Amino acid sequence: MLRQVAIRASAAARSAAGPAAAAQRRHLAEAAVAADKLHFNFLLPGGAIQKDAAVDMVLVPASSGVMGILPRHAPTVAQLRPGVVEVHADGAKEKYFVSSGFAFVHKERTDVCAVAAAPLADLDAAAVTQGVADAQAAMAAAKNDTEKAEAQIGLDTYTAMRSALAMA
Amino acid sequence: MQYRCTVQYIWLQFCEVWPMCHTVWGLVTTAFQTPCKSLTVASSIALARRCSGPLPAPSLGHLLPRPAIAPERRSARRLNHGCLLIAVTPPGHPGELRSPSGCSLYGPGTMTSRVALKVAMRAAGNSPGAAGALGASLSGRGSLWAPVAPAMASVGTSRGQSSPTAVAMEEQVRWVNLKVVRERMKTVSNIGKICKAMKLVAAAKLRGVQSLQQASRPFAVGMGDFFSKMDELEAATTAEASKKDPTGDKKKQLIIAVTSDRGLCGGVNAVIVKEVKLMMAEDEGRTPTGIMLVGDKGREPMRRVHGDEIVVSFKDVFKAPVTFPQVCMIAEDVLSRSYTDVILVYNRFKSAMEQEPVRKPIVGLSTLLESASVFDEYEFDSDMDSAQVFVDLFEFQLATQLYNALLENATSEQAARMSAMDNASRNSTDMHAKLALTANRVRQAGITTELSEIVAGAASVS
Repeated sequence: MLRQVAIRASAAARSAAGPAAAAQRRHLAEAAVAADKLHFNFLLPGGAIQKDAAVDMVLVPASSGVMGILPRHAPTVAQLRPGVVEVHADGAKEKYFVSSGFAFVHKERTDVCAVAAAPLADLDAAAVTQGVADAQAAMAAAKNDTEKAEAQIGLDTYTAMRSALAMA
Repeated sequence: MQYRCTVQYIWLQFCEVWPMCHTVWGLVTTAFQTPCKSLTVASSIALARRCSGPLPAPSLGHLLPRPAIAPERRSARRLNHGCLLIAVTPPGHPGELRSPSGCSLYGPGTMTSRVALKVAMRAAGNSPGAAGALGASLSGRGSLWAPVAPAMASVGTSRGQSSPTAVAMEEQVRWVNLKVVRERMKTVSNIGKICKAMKLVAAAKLRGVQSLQQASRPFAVGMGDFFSKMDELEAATTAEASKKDPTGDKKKQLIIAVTSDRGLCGGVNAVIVKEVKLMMAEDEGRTPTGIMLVGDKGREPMRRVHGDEIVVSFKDVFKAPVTFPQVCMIAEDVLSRSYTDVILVYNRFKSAMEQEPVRKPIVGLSTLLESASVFDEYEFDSDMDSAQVFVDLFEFQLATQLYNALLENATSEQAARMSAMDNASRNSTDMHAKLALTANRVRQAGITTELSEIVAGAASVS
């Protein structure tokens, strides 16, 4: 799993035109988030994209399908696949591409812990196309199962990026 | 009886030159009063210019006028030493002028005369009586060398043809102490400069790594929060288990000791090593333990005591800022070894002044699976079975905590280095000040000694 994580993270980092930090919006810690709002943290190893934010809804790419998290959601642990995290706050939508990670829905707050994330707008379509091609080539050239698996992970991530860009 | 005289400048030191010259002239004239029948100012000048001839009667009132030996003084200056020495050689000996290092300036010659002179000077300086005795014996026997012998023995120089360097060293010994102190001062101030530079570098690096570490903390806390219930539970169960079964069946623990790659960072590495040794001692060998070293500085001290337990050691981890993929590689290595428990030992960064070693146990996979009921309130959303989610979660948690530990330790390292180097540069300043005091004292003592020699010499003459 860790190898997956590392490969996905590097794939996402390669395709992101600017650092995720550029679009970081930090909210000051609010003592209590209103009951009809979702207390949301969007965390990365290298920093927080959103910390103690009050949002309306979050869509996360869980491995079983896209999952919408609203306030008072049942406690859940969701494994993330490469895909788009959508944060809905005050009628505005923010989209981030995440490589992998976990989403924890606690009773009182929701944490999305991703390995790598970048604003969807920062993804470079040309680089993604190139990445898909490279991953396919690597897949074809793979000699053993490990290489094949690694190439598959890369291909999955780049394909997810491509479809995310196509949808945006 | 006539003697050829040569003038030697051996110790001309800067502004003290003139009184010294005068004294030595006076002294020589006194000591060799009898053989040197007459020494006038004119012949003194001639002497200074390395001329030989009959010596006129001594007249101490007429010390050498300043301009008289100006050319010699200049050449003596080049020797970088102070004080004037006159050598008296018996007839037939070629006159000579030697530098303190022993190389001849004006041609070859014997050093004996210089030794004699030196001894005479010393005797006169230290006790006027000895100078008087010397003068008396010189006059009595008419031989220059015989009476010098006992005085020479008293200063530990062998009679006769002593080596030029020995003489030179004799002359210089008064200033050797000063020289040593000055060299030490220079060393100390240089080391101080290096320490100061290292401190600045550490401060700059600290700023970078600290911002990284602070940014990553929420992530580790977010992951850790989920497992916090687990920790409580595990603490309870392990306490219970240890009560039931003190040997701990099938347990295998891995201690991950995080140290720095570079030294000169205070005690951050020593405390980690101490902590790990303590853990090993507490365990008393009940649990099979492996030690994983991240960073190079724990290897040497750990190897001595727990060499057999070390399973792997990573170095140059902190050469570049720690990244998550890099940590994943280390975590993979941990996972490839079958340990039931993993304990991270690292320095937690509290402030730039304070770091503390912490042990952070990471719940093992088997324990996690056994006590999955803690997470019953959570729904697991995955296309895989829940056991696989736990495995993934555990791996992710391990990498996250390891990442956090590495960053905390890197921050602690830079902070500790900064304060260690700050202390070191401050110490070097203190040390330099103390040495400067010593140097001045030595210098002044030297001057005082010379002055008293002058006075004593003059007193013995009158």
